[in-house]
Amino acid sequence: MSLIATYIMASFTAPENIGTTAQSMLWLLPLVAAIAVIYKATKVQTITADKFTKEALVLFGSIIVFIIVAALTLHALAWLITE
Amino acid sequence: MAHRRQQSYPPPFLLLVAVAGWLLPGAGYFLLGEKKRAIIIFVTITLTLCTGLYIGSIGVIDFEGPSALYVKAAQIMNPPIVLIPGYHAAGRLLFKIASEFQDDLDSDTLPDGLRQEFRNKGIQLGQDATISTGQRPNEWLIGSNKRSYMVREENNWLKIYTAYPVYGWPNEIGQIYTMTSGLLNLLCIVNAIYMAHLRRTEPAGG
Repeated sequence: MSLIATYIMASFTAPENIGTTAQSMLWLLPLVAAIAVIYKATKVQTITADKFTKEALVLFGSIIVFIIVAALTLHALAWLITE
Repeated sequence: MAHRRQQSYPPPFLLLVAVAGWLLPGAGYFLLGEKKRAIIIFVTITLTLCTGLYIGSIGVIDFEGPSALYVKAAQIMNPPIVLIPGYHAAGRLLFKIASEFQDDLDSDTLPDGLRQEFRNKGIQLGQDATISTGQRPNEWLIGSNKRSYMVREENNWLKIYTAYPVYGWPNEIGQIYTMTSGLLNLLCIVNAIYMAHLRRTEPAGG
């Protein structure tokens, strides 16, 4: 097995080091992108590059905005309860 | 509403669409001639699954471990190739020895004799090898050179297994990714069957 193949395989045998930091929240972005793309791939009647990209981007943005609003609401609620 | 057959798919074809979609993400759509859709779905689901395995390692695929049933159910909806990392992550027996080192292990000490047993099997434990108590009674985890080994006391034998332990956020995020890719695959399978069904009974004039 080549060195590159060995290195790639090895990268799947040990977990990444992800701390409980604000930056770790960024891991939700690829997941939201995957959900938006798959959902739109099942819903769009005819797939054309521009229409599909636009629809997937709109859904991606909508989910992110909703998550931000939900996070702010929960943060405000937690602040009101604890202060 | 009047219905007419636009394209006659026999019922077994719907089953074929479902099975193909499970074996290879997007293959169900490919059978229906939806090539662009198939490619998009294949690439996205494969990338999502690989991202999950990269973040949490193959240890997040936990078919035999203590993970909740809904985690296993969601992960099994991934293509069956996921059974390969699942098989390895479950821990395979490397070798077994008499349980003469149990007292050392109980005091979280890695005995030289056990190091020698590993060496005899061609596994070199580094000087920085660590030992910690496992999740179950009579279970210990040895970590060395980014590899881990599970030592279990079973029937007066110490059995040494491969191990891919993953805890905390990498475990959470890895499981979320691999579960989501499985559930998205399920969505695609159901949608491909539905699409095939609609083509069988398209409304007249529609």
